[in-house]
Amino acid sequence: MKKIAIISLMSDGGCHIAFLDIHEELLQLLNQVDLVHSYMTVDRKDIPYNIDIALIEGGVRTTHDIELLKEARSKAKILVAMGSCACFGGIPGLSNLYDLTSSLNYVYRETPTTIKGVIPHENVPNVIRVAPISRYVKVDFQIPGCPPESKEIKDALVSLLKGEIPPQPTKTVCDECKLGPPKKKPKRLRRIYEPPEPNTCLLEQGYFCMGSVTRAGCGAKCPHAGIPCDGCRGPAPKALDQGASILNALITLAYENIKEFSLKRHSAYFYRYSFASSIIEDLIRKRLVEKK
Amino acid sequence: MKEFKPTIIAFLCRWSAYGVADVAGISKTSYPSNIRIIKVPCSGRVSPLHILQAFNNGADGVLIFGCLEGGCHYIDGNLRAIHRVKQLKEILNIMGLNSDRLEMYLVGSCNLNKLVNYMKEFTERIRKLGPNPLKLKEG
Repeated sequence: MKKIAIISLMSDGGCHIAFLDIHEELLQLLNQVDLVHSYMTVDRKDIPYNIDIALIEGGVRTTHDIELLKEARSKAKILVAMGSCACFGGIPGLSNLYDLTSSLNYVYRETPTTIKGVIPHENVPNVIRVAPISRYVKVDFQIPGCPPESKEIKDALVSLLKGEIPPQPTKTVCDECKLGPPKKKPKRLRRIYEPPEPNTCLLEQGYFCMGSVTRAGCGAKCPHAGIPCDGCRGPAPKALDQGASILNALITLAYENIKEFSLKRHSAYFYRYSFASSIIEDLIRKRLVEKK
Repeated sequence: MKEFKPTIIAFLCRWSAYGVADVAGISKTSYPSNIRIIKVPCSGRVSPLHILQAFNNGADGVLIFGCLEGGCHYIDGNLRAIHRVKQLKEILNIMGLNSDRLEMYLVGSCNLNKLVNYMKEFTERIRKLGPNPLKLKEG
């Protein structure tokens, strides 16, 4: 019987739900494995020894997360980053756009509903900048997505249990999307509340669709439903850095007609899930090291 | 104290600036030796990714040379490059880099003096700004 553990760091449990959403096939999977640690389904507080596969959910936000992560690494044979927070830092990574002290001050002191707030400092771990787990430990396999497809988690687990490394998609969401490619240049910027025209590429209509720089594997669900891709699966292998690549593409496509977009203004859109692992974050971190 | 020698990465369009820089030797003029030239098919080829990575790997300045307006071999590559540079300058300030460390110049295909002057001017500017604050200390 192989042992599987799901260890949760800074996360909202969505990836956990995606794991449980494997549904009936989970029963077949549980014939082969033993789920030894998972805060939603198993009543066990400590991480047991000799785990075969540890699924890490969530990125690093506090010093406690680092301890937990290192403990998991030392006890697990294979460590898998599950979900975009673990792989790239995820949406919480956007808080790295701001200074750590200023965001703590805002959250605990300056919000309009707070009176005489205090930043918690006793018996709590220190808050640090959001980071993907690969910055602290070696990661054997990544399952990106927010949340990842349940089928993808299952397929990955099945092949990892056999001792194989599952194939990673190398294409982009655009390759899987039936709407594209864009046939002409967009005329103006559109927001999500405006209904899109059917069977036309969303980028061509003027929506910021991140499909061209985002890793494939989801089957382009969002563009098919009329919602522009927001890049939850992280950068495609050749894109390296989502924001810089989409900026490059948008300027090529739309610099004459659309003047409003800028990396400064739309950084939360271009880097929604991958800011904590972007080149800009690297540069900011180096500056902080320099200051110390 | 040792004199500061800036490392400058220059992206030169092969249709104008690169050809001009090539002739520099024959015409017995010289440009600052700390400029490292990278030949690109068009200044529009230079992605924000290349520029950010140059800074991340310790470049003190990044220079882009394109063709004159209307003279691009690929119709509007140089205009795209201008837009990219404009966008990147905005965020360089946030990251703690002076936006003067990135510059784009347009030169014609026979303006050797202009090219060399731009290069000298930029090197002087970077020398005044000092080394890239994000460069990791050696050793």
